[in-house]
Amino acid sequence: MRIIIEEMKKIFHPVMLLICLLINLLMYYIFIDFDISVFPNGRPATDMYNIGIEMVDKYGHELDENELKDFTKVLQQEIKKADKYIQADKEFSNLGITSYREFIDMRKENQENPEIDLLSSKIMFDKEIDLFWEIPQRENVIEKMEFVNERYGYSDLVQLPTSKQDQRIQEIIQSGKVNAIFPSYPVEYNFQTISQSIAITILVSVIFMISPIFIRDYKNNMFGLQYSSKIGRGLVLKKVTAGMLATFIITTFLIIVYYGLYSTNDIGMFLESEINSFMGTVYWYDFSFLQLIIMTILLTYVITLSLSLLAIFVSSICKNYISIIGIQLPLFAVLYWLIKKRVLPVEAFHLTSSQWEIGMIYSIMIIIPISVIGWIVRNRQTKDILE
Amino acid sequence: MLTVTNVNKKFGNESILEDIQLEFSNGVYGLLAPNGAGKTTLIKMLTTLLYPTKGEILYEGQNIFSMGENYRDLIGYLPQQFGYYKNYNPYQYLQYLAALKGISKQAANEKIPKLLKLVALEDAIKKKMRKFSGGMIQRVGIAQAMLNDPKILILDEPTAGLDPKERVRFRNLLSELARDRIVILSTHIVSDVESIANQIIMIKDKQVLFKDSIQIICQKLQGKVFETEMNFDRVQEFRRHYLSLSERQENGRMMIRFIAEEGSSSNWKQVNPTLEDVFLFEYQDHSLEQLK
Repeated sequence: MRIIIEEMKKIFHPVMLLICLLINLLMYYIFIDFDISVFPNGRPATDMYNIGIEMVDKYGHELDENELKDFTKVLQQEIKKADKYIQADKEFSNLGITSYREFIDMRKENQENPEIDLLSSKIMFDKEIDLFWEIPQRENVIEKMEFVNERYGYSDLVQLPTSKQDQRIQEIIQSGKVNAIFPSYPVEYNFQTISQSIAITILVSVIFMISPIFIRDYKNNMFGLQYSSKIGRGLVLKKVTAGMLATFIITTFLIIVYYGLYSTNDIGMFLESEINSFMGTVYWYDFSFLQLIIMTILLTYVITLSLSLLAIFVSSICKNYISIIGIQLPLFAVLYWLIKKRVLPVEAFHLTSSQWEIGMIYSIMIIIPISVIGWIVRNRQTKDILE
Repeated sequence: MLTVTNVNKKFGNESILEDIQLEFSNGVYGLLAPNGAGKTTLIKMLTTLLYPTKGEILYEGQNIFSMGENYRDLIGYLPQQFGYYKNYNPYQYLQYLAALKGISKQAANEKIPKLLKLVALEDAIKKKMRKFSGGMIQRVGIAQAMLNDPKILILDEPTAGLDPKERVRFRNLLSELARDRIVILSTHIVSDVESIANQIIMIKDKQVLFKDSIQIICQKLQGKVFETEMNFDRVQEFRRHYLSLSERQENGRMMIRFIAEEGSSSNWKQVNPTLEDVFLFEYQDHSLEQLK
């Protein structure tokens, strides 16, 4: 254990930590900050978020038939309020609009009428009258619930659903889980973006901290002393262990920090909501939002530990830092692409992600790094230490 | 006892050492050969960094590679270009190596100040090693080799970077240490081993040339080393016929120490051969290159 601690001291050298902190500050302000400081992002995201909170407060985490009726009643009341507003407003009466429905119909029919456009813009953006933002969202919720059997899940698919996808959609509908109240827009979307950015930031931090693990010794002519000491070639395994532990510590620390910041987005009331909601998308598994977050974090660990093992391997075969960057850049680019394509880690369980492909990707991510590290450990046992 | 039996070492098709047979018991062994003769290769095999292509190395009858960490626990090694972390101080550096050598933190805490005192670095214990001179670095290297109180101390070019005072101090230290352990000191500097080695091992043409005491090795040139004095204008011609070992100017004339099969002039004075004479004689081409 003492050797592992000594190796970890080298990884966590204060100068490296300071640079890592600067990298994180930069990454935070470029990629993460926006999704924390601007949530919900404008309108109608804010309205949908508020409606979601209201629904959870009033009806719990599921919406039954009676509650839907109640929700519809609230909508009617809102429309009446909107009617009153319109009747009291001179600009509406000048255009001959006397009710909310008339206003909406006219807006649809006369899309290029500058007067209606101007009025609509004034109400929505200048005066920001909440009613006119909220009513369409409430109508949207009701419509989704009313047509859940026909539309749920299918709108997310670009192609016709496979039999398995169809089966999964029907399973959610039949089981009634579809009644879950979970405003995937904006809550789930925000989580997807932020968890991607967090995963990428952690990957960059891990690569930066772990990459010097072997090359630092090579550059400092340490191999002769290290491999002729009592631990000998067994040091390779100790260094790999130290690298893995350090990766785990870095990942855990950054996850605590970034998900701690994410928690300030006030999404606590949705943590128990099922994610397979009529208001949102379809997943292969029956997770609550909290379980989705936990699974995403677990997959983030898999990705960072996997890349860390590759970084250790690359560090052990390279003779200079340029070649390390040269080899790791494409590796990082592939992972970045997979994350941005939403394969890893956020949408791994999404209905649009083939579980067979996801399984393959994660298996490759686990098997290849373990294999190459195994090769390095065995190779160092039998290889002459020439350096 | 450490025994090297019929050891060969090849890198690819290139043979570096052939049929090396050696035995080491307590005492100082000077491994003397010019650069590139295979000293470091032999030393790296003794420290298990290189595997012999053929033959075996035994300690107390056991193969050192089979002994693994039990053998490495017995050795202290100072490589030719020994490594260190510039941002470490000697205390941190020795603690790290103590961990690799399986020494507990407490034991290392007791040992490190003593060793640093032994190499006169007690005042620099918390000073970053990047600020150290070559001699100071080398002294840290000697201290690390002694950390585990080794039974076999292997030093590859240990005096590089040491000033004359430090060299003397170092030689005295080695003599002291060699009383109850094997000390193998590889060098191409004859004076490093001349005064302290019990035995000298010379490697030539990939094989062991001599493994004997200095006296016996020097006998090989007994009656063949002379000194003479001549005018400068004759030196060039003289060198064409005899191997000049050393030359110095004295009173406007040249004093030459040289080798000849037999004394052929009355003003030649026969002198006792030294280890350096043998070295220069045996490695004539190498020696001349190195002297240049």
